[in-house]
Amino acid sequence: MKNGQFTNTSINMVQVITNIIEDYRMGSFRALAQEPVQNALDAMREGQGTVSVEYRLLRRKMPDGSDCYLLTVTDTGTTGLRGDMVTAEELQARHFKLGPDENWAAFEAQGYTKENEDALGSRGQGKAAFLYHSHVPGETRRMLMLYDTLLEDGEYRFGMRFARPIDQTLSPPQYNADAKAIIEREYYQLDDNLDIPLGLHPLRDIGSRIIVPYLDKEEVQLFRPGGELGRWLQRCWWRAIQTGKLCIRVIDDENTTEEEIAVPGWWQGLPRERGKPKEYGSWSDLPYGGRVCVWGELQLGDGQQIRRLVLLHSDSLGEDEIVKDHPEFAGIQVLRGSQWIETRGVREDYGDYIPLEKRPGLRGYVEFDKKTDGELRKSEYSTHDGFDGKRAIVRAIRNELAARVREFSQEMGWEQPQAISNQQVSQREKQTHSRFLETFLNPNGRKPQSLSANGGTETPQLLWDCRLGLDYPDPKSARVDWGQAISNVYVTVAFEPGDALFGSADLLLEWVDATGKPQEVNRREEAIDKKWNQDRVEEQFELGDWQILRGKTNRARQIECPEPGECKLRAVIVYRGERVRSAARTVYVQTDPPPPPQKNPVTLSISAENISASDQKRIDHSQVLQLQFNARNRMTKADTYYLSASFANEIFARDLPVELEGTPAGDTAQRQEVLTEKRQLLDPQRAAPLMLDRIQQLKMPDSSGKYTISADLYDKTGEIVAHASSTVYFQHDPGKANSKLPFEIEQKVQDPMWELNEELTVLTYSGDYPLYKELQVPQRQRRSLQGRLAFIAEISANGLLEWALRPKEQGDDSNFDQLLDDSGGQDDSLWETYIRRLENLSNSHSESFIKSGHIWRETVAAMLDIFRKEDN
Amino acid sequence: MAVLVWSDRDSVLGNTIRSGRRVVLSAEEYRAEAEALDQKLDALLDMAWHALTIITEHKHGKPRFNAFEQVWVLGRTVHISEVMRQEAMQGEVHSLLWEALTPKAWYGIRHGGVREPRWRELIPVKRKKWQEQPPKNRHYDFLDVGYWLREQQLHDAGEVFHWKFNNARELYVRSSLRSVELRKAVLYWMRRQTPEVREALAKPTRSAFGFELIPKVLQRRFPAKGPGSALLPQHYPKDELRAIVCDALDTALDAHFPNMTELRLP
Repeated sequence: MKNGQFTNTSINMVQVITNIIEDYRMGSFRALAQEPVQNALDAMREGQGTVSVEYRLLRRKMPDGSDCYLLTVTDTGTTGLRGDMVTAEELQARHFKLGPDENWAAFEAQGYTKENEDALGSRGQGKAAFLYHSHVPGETRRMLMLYDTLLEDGEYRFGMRFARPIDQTLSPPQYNADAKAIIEREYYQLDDNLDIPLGLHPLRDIGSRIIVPYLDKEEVQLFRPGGELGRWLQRCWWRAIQTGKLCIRVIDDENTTEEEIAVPGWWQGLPRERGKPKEYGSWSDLPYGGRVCVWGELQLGDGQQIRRLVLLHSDSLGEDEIVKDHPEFAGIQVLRGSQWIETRGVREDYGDYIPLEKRPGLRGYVEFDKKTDGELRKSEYSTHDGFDGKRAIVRAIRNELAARVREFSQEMGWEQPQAISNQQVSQREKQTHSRFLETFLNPNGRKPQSLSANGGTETPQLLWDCRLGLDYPDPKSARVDWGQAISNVYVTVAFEPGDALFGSADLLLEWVDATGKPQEVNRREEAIDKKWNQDRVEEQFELGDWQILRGKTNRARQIECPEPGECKLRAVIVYRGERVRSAARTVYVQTDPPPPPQKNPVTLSISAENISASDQKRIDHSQVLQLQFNARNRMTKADTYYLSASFANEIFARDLPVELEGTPAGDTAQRQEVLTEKRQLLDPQRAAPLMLDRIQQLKMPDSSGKYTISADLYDKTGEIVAHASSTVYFQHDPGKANSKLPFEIEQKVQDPMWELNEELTVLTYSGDYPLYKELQVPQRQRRSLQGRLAFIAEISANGLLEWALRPKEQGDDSNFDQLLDDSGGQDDSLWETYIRRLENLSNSHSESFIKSGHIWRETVAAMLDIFRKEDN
Repeated sequence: MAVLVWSDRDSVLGNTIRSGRRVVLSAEEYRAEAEALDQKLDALLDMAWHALTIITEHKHGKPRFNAFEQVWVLGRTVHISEVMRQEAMQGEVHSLLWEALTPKAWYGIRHGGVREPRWRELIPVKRKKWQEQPPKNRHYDFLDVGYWLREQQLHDAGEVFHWKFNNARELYVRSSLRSVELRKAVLYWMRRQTPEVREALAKPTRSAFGFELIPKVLQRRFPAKGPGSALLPQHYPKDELRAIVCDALDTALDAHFPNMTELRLP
């Protein structure tokens, strides 16, 4: 077997270049603005204080009469592309190492390192930045650039690089008169009949020029003065321009226009430019309104330091960004060697310290001493557009900048110092708060998922309803003595959609004794079936009379209950092995129930749902709002009341008579549906869509706003006995409480452990609260009730109770109903205890402060028990 | 909505884009839309200025601008121009439009940067302080009130509020009293009062007796929230609302100023 030979592989240079440029996160124009200027500055000639770089756009006519655009980038004040040509073989022999003066070889080679330089410049970004913009006509993508240089010794040289797509350079280059002749020629013809339009003047000053022919015509505008190229040049190099090291011009030969890249207006003028700033920061006012602060010599550790940090804010400054993915001026520009590398974004990095409306007007930059610059260079991406955040030096800088921005914000009066130092709700705390609220207010989240017969695919979720009716021996009281019977027990079961039931469901009747222990007294298996093509199925089950006995039962429909006290008769729907809905009535066995509450015996509630998008609070044009007005009567006597209700300009009811059944003393007052309405809401400025079936349309007064549904319930004398209201966000952002959850959590400087704001939308606590401060920051474990998260759960429970109960002061049960209804599906002992305590709490107005506080604490304890169980 | 907000810093014009929408990174995404709206605002301000020149009284050849007329003209012009029907305005609050309209008129900058100093006459003198406030706290209440007044003819609205902007604002700030039906009922009541009563009611709102009595009394009858807020003025039939308003205001007039009773027209 013969040994094979190694051969050189052909490299698709076009692809290499494309890959390099696509690594630039901010695009090819930033690369073009950055790389040539950086190379020019690196090649500054000794004794020259300033390097000039000129970007010139030229138009040339091709032999076929079409236009061809060229870009030339000329640097002066530099050494030019000096040094001898080095062949690929020589470079290999020299282990890809070039001397510091071998600029020509460096410009033609790929993948070398230069003495006294790191590997940053060796990947060919400079060449790629030019070549990427050349689109040589032809079927395949080809790129071309030409370059000429005038050296200090008078030598003139011309070279060319062609990626077609393999990488080729002109070898040997053309020298002196031959080189100048090519440059001056109208067309430079390559062997494959490619005419390259030139017609240029040879260089007169020492330096070099890169010529990029065949610019993309659609991009030509971007190269002109005032275009995108100029804006990137300003972003990258304004500081070098300000300190006099650099001068850049963008010239359009076609239109004879010219732009000298200038320092942005806000950075013009002393004292921010030069001198040694004070470490503690020196403040001054801006002539056009706003303030600026300059810090100097900020120590970063290990002998590294920030030489100068300047922060400035003016309301008169607006945002000035080219692309939106990464900040450019909007934040603190981090400069290395007077070159912009990255910007710590005002929104991304300092959003916590800078109010929203102040962000457009904030500008900043930071620069370092030589030693730190050198360290930073090691952390810099090869594309010169960012730093590796894992490096200690980069982390130290970022921390220092954040501290100074915070200080700036305090001084500007945007944030109180203590509000900044401590008042931050952690992500885990927010999650705990959300999960807690979802546990008690998200019944759908706990409902079993129905599965289709073919396994796995979800069918529409079933919505269950269950009601339990019965007659007590005394219609005015829930008391039942031993030997007496609860009569006419019936259960109404409803579910929708009617054909989504898989198989059938069972109905159970349970007795829960005074200790909370349940016993099944009746079961109807497979009693509940689907009904094809019915939106809603409703069935009533008659369960007869049930006698309560102290001793042993000996017949059917008898319940053994030896202990007196507060018991419950409960109906439960069991579907696919899970208890999906239940309803219960309270029975006081051989015990007098408490009297009806004195305060607010009649309450009203409103449920307002965006049924077109049930997961959002906001309601938009043509979406449907469903409104339900419900009332509860805790008095033993049935009575007639009158309802008035309105929303925006529409009146739903005016003095509508409402018969409310009484509630036997001790029994839970049943929610009684008073009125249900659906409206498709319309923007008055937009055309109405086709009317939905049976749904009335309501034209809102304005295109956007917060509107209130308001309802009053009057008695016969005209006195208002209950009031309820609910807010509808029509094409309006609900703000703090964006989600379906009623309130968010925030930290705030305050004395109390927690507070719920007046609008019931924000629960606040203080990060300085002594107990909170002493608790541990939780570790990454699944358990929720630990350390500070337990504190969050505790205050969330309190907030939820206040959210439900505060509106009840005006007889508004809307929130309380929601809390009660959403817990109705759970009927294990923990949920049972919670519901009982919640009901007690709602009736505790007439109790003493101490008693009422006790019930409150009991309810919170029950909620925490449930949360611990459900969340773990 | 996206709007173009002009600024003038030492005669250097600038503009920024503001939007109430959720933007991905910057409101600049909506610049094209905002520029189109800015062009429409040129026509709107021209129309408003011409309307103002027609209705403004002149004394010794000089115009005497009245804040009530200025805001009514602005509000009415916004309405007539149908700028609210622009796509940029769909589903948005008005405040951003006011944020664009006010500096544009105050600095007098047409789309394209051409100066139009006469537009400044549209801004009521006492509202000029808006530009001294930080952007977060800038109030454009004069434009809110003006746009709200658009529903009535100038003469009717002027009669209700005695041609005083502050009187109009006193009613506007009470959200339950904003319906045009209520203003018509108040006008009906007002026309039944003697010149003396009407003159007394025209006094500045903070005086012992003045227009402020009307919004205070009416708010007690039509609270914005809480018990009694289910039915607002717009929910009553015209005659019943008139009766309610007349009864409430007559009672208040009697209670506060028994001497005025004899001056009332039958």
